[in-house]
Amino acid sequence: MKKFMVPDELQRDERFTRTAVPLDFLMAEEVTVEQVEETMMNLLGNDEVRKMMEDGQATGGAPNVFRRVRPDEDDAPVFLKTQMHGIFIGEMQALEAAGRSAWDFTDDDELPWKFQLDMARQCWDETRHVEIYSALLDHVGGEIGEFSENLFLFEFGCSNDPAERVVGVNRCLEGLALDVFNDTIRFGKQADDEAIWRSVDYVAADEVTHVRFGQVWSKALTENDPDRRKKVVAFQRKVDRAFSLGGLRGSYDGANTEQFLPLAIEFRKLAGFTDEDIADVAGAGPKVVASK
Amino acid sequence: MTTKGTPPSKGAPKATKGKKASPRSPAPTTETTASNGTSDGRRDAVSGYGTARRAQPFPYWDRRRLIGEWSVEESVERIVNYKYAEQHLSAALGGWVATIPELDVKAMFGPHCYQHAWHADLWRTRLPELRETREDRAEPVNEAFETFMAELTSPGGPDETIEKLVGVYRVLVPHLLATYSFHQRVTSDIVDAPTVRILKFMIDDDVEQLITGEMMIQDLARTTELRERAGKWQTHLDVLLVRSGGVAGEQTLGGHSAVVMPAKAVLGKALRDKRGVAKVAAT
Repeated sequence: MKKFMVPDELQRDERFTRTAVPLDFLMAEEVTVEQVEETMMNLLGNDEVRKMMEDGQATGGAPNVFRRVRPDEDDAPVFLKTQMHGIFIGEMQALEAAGRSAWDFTDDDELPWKFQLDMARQCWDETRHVEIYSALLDHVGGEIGEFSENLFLFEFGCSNDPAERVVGVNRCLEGLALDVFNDTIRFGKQADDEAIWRSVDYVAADEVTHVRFGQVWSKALTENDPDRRKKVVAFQRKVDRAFSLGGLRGSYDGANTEQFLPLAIEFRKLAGFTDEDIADVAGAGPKVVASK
Repeated sequence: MTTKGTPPSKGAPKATKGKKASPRSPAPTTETTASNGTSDGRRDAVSGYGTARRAQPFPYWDRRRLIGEWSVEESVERIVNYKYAEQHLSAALGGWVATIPELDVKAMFGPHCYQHAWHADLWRTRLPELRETREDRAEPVNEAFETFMAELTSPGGPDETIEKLVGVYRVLVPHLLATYSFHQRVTSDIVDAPTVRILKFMIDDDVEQLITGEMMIQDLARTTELRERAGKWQTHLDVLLVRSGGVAGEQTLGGHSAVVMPAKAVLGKALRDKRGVAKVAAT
């Protein structure tokens, strides 16, 4: 088996379809509101959702993009299906990334055994998450393959340098997962849906551990090598920008809870983020401007 | 608490000069090294309560052995070989996850990737307990076993799920299961008890993997073509495995029987003579 896969080599069954990774958009310094809406509609890739978002644009902001959807709104069922499917896909890519991290660096004699052990542990955890979200997807009336898959998480998360790999996958990807799960738990509680909030609560606990793996390993692998550290931090900023989803990921202080996706401050701190780290993530997105 | 003047317990084991155990010589058992309380080889029955109970630290139903098959150094070398196999298997299972289109197989490899990493880590923690200071040691027993592992982990294509499954669940996991079960049965369950306990966890995982892996193979390979591919790949890997002798080389399995046999039967004239002697003794 070869080392280091490219995202297009990730294997799926015939239910899955893919949309192209919007590289230019995810890396842009500045984006317009229209670009954000258009990109999100393409990413979600489902007629039902596109219609919901187009209808929303006419009434002052597409749900799921520029405003929070509440459980008792008409848009809630479609929103939640999109959400669960998106997370299911994200978990599968996280599973694959963790598995590849266990395999790709076995020839690296300088990498301690504990690295492979942590990645293998994450591989098991992510498998449970795939199982949990496929069950929750079914719970909210969705089906695997109902929405398109986008490989940007794997694309940006998986570097050939183990220090960058743990930063990309464990710190950035799993950090994004913490924000999403925090939001999902809140949604589940608002909906009085125990199946959602109780199960996602456990998933979030796992993700804190994975983000902590990222914090610990990125430090351990670069602490005696300032140049490598600089390179890894630059990579981290790039991935944080990509995972800000065009600036959609929310506010630093969590005060604006109506925003699409506030940062999960408490979870991130549990995982070892400092205030400075959190400010970095909050400031990673592009400038969002009105249409030109 | 012992009291001054308390007599030694009857049947207490005496120190013996046992010869060094090796795979080539039958391992002595507790039965033959301990002093027994009666002339026919049985210990005195233990009874009583409180200070009157003159017991060994073993209850009478305890059948564990004091001396096992291998020395400390021999145990270390086997563990180093096991660890190599576990580490490589775990890495391969992780790497394969992304190469497999079948979602149920993908989800099966994730937990098994961790289980084998955990097994490797249990071996890592056992090494310093056996005086091996380099706990990171993980070595193939010989080049042939290294070749076997390289071949087992070689399928990488999305259409090679059946080869990946067969290599793990029909060849390596059954081999490890047999080896670990053998190890558990022949090592001392007193002096080497931590290893025996570790093996219990691993065997439990491997039995479950064997079952779920085989179910997956049978469910997935429903055509004659796939069954033929499965059989051919299994034979191919098995041949490579046997060339290496196994995960720990030629001594992976095997040795002398150590079953405690009863004394030879006394019949005919010998029996009459024995009875005659007993009769005279009685009068």
